[in-house]
Amino acid sequence: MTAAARAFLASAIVQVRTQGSKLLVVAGIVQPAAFLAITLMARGRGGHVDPAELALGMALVGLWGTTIWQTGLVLNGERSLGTLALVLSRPASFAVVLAGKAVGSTLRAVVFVVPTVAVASALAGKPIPARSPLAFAGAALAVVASASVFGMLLGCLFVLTRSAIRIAEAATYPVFILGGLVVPLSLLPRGVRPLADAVSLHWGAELLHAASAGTPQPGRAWLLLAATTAVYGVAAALLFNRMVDRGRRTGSLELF
Amino acid sequence: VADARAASSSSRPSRPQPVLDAYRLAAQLAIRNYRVQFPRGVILLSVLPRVVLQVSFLSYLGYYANGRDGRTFAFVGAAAQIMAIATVAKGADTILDERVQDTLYRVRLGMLPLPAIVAARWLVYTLEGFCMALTAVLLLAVPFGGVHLLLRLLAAAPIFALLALTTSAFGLAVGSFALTQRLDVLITNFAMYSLLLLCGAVAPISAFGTVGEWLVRLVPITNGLLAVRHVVGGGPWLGDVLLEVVVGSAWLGLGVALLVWQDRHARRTGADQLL
Repeated sequence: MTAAARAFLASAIVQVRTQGSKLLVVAGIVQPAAFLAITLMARGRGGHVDPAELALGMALVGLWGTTIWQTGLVLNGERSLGTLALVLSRPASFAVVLAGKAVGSTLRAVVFVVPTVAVASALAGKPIPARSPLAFAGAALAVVASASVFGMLLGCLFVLTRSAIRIAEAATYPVFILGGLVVPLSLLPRGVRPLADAVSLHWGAELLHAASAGTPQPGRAWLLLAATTAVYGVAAALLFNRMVDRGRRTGSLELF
Repeated sequence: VADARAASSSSRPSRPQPVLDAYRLAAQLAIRNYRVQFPRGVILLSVLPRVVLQVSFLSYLGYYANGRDGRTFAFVGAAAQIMAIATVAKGADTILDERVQDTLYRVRLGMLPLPAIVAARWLVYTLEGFCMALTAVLLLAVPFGGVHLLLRLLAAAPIFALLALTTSAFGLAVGSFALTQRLDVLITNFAMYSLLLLCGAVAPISAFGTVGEWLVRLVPITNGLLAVRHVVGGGPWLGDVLLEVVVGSAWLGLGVALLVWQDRHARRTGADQLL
């Protein structure tokens, strides 16, 4: 195993072991479960809610919430613990460490989110089907990878500002709505629908729904999931370099 | 000695500080603290967008679940429930921060009762909650229900003000309970989402069944929201308003009782933070 792979793995393990769970419980369990319950209770003649589809959408809502509140705040956590500069000055690439931490944080979130929606949909009488298990697993892995990359982007953005928590508070709902994770895009005003194209989880949701229903995987969704994730990755790299450069130049890495 | 006495008497206030002035000072300091935590930029770029987006999301959940009627129903509920962010989650920090900063014992040792100081500090979040609801109504009532809905909801503004007070009372009880727990973040957020689930914001409370319907009336917002819906629909609303007052008063009593009990317990056992 190469040094980079070892650093990646160690960072992921440390993140899984040390990250707090309070916000994870809120974003990964309480919030999606509450949204799922109120939507199921509100079902009426005017709606077309499929509990399994809804639960799958809520899983992505939970994943997005935890990406913001957990993965996005990884670097802020390092700074508040006073370990950011220490990690940065080690021989291992900080980008590799950050990537490991982002993946560890996202996987940890998955452990909270998936059982929540699985149990909730089963209780609602319609468990989430996986009619194409291989395609479903592949799409789920791609979604987790994309969420990790987006978490890295958020982490580099949040560490540049004092208002990270405030940004996080406002940043959850645009993707809930515009990503079409739960509410079909056809219900939104026409003018805002194209914005969903920029949200990788929207394409991830399309893939998961297709695999769940057993229909062929849409190639366009795979392509756009890869493209949006790549754009997030490039933006994360740019922000990351800027953050490190600014911290080194002004000696403000540890200052808040 | 005479000089010392003169200096002492001159440094003393000309009249004893009235209790009301002390409360006013506590409220003013809370406003100053709020402005530091939430400067104009944060309000414009975070608080305001969250109000619009959260209420929109819940309204669209209602749309998805029950068509246009569901959307209007959920919008009215979401516009009322949005205030819990300020009155429950943020407001609780007024007391939880004292514990974090290890200053709670100083407030407890003061001459003014802790519940009264906490209540004075809470007012800024009560006001914020009311403004959040009003903002949601002003910006979103027309797209989600038309001009008629906007006018009816504006007529119900005093009920929204009452809801800001009753949810603050609920927040006080939740914050007082969370004060002695290590899971304060989880508790306040759990309380906020429980309100969303139970108060009939997106789904009507009839979904809970006959017994459940009466049980959820013990939760703040539920009765007041029914009153708002009656104002919108032209039905009798006074009974539900009175029930909301009773429920809010009960939560206030519970919150004050918890704080008083914790104060006595802390003095008796010396376990100031009660962790």
